[in-house]
Amino acid sequence: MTVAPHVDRAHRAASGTGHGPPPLRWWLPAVVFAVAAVVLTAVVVAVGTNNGPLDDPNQAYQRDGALHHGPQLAGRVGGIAFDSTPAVVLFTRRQPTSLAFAGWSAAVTRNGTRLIVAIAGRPGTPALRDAVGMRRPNDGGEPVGYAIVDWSRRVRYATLDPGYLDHAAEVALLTAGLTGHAS
Amino acid sequence: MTAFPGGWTRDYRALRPRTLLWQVALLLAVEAVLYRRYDAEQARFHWSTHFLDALAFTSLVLLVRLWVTGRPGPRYLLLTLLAFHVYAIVPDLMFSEGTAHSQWQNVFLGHIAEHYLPGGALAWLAIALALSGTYVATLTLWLRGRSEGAPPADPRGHLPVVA
Repeated sequence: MTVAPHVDRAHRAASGTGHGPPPLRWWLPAVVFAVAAVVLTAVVVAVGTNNGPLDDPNQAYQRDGALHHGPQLAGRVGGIAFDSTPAVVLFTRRQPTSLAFAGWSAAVTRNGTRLIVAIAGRPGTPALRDAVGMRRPNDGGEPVGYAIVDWSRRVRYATLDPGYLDHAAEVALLTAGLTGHAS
Repeated sequence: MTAFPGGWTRDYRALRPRTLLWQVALLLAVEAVLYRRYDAEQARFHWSTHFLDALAFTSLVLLVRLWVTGRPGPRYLLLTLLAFHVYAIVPDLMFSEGTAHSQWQNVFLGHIAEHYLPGGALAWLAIALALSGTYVATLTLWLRGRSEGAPPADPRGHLPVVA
């Protein structure tokens, strides 16, 4: 079909078949993009890079949610014997005593997992920390987080997690596959 | 010059202001809900990484489509971004339902591997802005070509023709 030159472009656009101008000013997407880029940058810098003193300097390594094949532990590390029972090794800076911790420990051991609490400054803790490969937090101090060791004494997970008390279900989920229990 | 049925109207279908506005509103509303959910899990870093990954991938898809077809599309540009973001976080939805992460979940826009990009969130921000900026620049050229005088003979207008 040949387009008749005398047909008004606006009329053709209005009829839905013509060659009318774009419905947007040509510069509008660029302006919207510039504003959106500034806002997005501010949001990402605020939420994607700002973490606390006990968090991992590289957040990719904090609570990634996937079991890995880490180092295999010796039968005894830092005075703690490891057998074929999967274990959660909790690293803290102070002895946890709260009711919340009681609930947390009950939740993470419900599926038969053993809980080992390694408190900073106590004998054996540095050896455990180094053996499981716990990372240093932003403040350079002792880690607050946990490691998961499977039945073969292999470290499957090691993460800083200063908010671990809020994540009992997460720990239970990760250990469930190691014990054969559903979380 | 040869016309084609519904030609220019179809070219502009993805750019209708009203359609774009409700997509912006829906995108912001859903992203706010997703952000709150990640924030409640103390995992805001993951929200930003997956969003930026989805933005980069969406921009690439839209750019290729614009080059190949000669018109912006699909019809719902911003819903495409939302769809890819939801696709990228499927493993997190599975995690909340009791399935631990695993390497095979990289099929969801590299859900596991993307976190380990050197530079982290800022690197993803740079990639996402570079790709989306390239798309917007290309779209701007396309629009400008149609805002100046007679429509171009080729629907690709001022774009490099690849097909």
